[in-house]
Amino acid sequence: MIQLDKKHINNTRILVVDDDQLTRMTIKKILQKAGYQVTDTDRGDKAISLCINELPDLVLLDLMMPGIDGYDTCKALRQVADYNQLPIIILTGLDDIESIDKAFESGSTDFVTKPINWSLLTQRVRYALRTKELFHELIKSQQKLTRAQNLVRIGYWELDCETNIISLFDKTKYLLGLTSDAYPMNELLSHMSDIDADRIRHCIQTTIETGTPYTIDHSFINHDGVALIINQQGELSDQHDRKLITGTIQDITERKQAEELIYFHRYHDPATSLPNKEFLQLQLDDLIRQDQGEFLTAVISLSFDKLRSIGGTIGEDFINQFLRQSCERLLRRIPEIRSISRISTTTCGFLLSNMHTIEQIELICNLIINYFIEPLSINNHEYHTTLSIGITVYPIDDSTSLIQNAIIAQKVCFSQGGSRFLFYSFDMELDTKKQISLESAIRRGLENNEFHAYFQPQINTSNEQVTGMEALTRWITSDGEIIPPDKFIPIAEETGLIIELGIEIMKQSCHFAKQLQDSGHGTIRVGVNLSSLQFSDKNLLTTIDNMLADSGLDPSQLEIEITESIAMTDISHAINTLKNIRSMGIKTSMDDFGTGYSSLSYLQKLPLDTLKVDQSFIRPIGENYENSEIARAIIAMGKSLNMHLIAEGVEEAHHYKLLKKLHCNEVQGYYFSKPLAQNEFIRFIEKKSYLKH
Amino acid sequence: MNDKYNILNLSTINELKEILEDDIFAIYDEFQTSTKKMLQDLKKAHEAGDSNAVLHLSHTIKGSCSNIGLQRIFEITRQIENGLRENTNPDIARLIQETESAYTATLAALKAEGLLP
Repeated sequence: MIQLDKKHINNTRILVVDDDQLTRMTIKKILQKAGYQVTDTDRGDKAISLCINELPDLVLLDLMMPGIDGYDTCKALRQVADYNQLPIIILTGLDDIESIDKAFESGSTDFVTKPINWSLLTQRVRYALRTKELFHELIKSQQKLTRAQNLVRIGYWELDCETNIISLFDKTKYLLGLTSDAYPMNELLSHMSDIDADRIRHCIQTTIETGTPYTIDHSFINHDGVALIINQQGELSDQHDRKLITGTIQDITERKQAEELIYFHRYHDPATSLPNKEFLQLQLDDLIRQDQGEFLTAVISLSFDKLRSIGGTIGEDFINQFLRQSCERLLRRIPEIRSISRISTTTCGFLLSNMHTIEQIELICNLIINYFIEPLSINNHEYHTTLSIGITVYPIDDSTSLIQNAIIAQKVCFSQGGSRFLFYSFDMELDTKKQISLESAIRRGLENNEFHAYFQPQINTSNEQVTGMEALTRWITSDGEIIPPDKFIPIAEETGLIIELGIEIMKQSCHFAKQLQDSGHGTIRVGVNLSSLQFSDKNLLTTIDNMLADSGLDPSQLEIEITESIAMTDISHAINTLKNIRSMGIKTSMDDFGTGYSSLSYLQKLPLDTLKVDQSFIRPIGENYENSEIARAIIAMGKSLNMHLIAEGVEEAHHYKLLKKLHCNEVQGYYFSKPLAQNEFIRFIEKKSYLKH
Repeated sequence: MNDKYNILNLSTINELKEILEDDIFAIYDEFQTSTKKMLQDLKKAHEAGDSNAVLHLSHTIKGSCSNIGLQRIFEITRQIENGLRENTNPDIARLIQETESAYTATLAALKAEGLLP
């Protein structure tokens, strides 16, 4: 198509066709004077080939020519596809109305009469060009409109209310996947559900009766069986006494799908596709709205206590997988749970509706906890975790913060060791506030060096020398207050501050052991406890290596202690990490052995040097060695596995006597000494005051 | 009898002058040569009894002269064309002679107007 609209007049080309050379010359000169580029010819056939080759923007054509005359030239030009909009102005005698009509039928756009009014000729040309430009614009905007309609998939229809025939205009039928331009209304309605068909009938009826336009979204199954979502609008239009409803339809399937996607993203956790906290709130709001006051609704916040530390080793993907599987397990086994939302990294939330009593809620929570005694198998690994469950109950608790308060209860539950459930109480909020202030106090304490490693001596039963010590954390605030570990360790673990704290204690321990050696107090091994977060910390080995290099302590003098439950959380990770620690020349030890669910087969797999017999097996031993069976069994087992044995909780002389007799390698406990500050410890070994017998 | 018509239509000529300025000379120069040729052809055609050629040539001369304001030639050639078309049996020989006289008069008038050297 010729792009006249953007062309400057200087680029506009005009072809003059006239067999009269003098007139042709005059026209040419006049048009050139006005700035146009002019080509001329005296014959019709030449004019056609010039048009094809030179693409003029306008043709001035004489009608009376020998050979192919003006009419035939005009017709021929109209046959050339690109020339259907080319302005063709014919030149004809003033009195020759008949020829003007004939020329118009041949496709000319305008005429100029002879004798030519020269002043008007250029105006005529200019108008013809502008008309063409406007026409071109109109076509372009029509095309744009059509494109836009195709793009937004919009179509037009008309319903004749008397015949009940719906006409579909332009491409509307394609939009609906139909083949005809008109259908009886009922046939079209058969493409949708009965409910939608009834809704549309109702809309149309109302519009006919009241004249109010309508808009409605409905389904439409096209001939290929594809379900579309259609937005339909209709309004009454009276035409020549015919009652019509005219309207649009728009295929909004994609938009609806996008809306659903947005809805999904708004109410779901992208990593696990589980519903999120907003969804839980939505569910809860719905329940409260519909509540008749007959039943109780429990809001449960459930966290997987060890997930963060396991996830620290294996990563975010693992946490997501773990959560998904755990939620599946819950949904499968507890029919009262309809859906579970992820409300934070390691915490899920759900509702128990239609509960009759608090006891019923407790029963379900107990079931849940029991279901997680079994390990969860992910990628052929078994993982143990415990749960902390916080509960609020509607309408007993304040309805405005049911979810938030359930989370508070869950956090309190976690700080108390997990593996249980707690109902929310107002005090907890205060506790939580206290916890927050405690957390910032720990941070401050770390900055101000308020955390100190204390050392409890470990005495070798064969030579009664101090051959080891266990480092224990003490927090002495700047105003001299001593805060017990059970008050701050859970918060340090929950907030991740335990890593920094652990590094601090290990640093002090390594330096102190080296100092004892350098000052001639002998080679005393130091045992340092690792929390689960530290144990799963990717930088653990580098950190230990730096400590040793920094202090100059021989690796064999350091012993890393982990608890049984840390090892059991992810047994293969424990095996690998302990192996790596050992390959550095460091000793490995299992603390609290026998208190958890570890079995002998697991114990065999773990690369351990030392087994610590938990104090709970030592303390009950009586003077006549009653209640000593478990201690004996553990020691025998340790011996059979060639492990170094250290008994904790030695408080009485007969404890020591029995352990010596059982060839338990070392003992520690209040019978010899409480944990000591560094200077006290030095005094303790110098005085040899531990030799009480 | 056609002496009653003005030789020139000055309003058309002035209009052209205004639009074309100096380019106008080329037009009348072309007129001088091409019309002279066409008048010769016209005469020959008449003598040969080729009335179609007479019709066509008189139409062409009529058209071009009317467009550039040469009134008298236009009027005479129109009489030839119309007479032939309407079969009124015009005196073609006389009209051709009158056209030739008008041509000479036109050249003189154009010279007087300064449009021909």
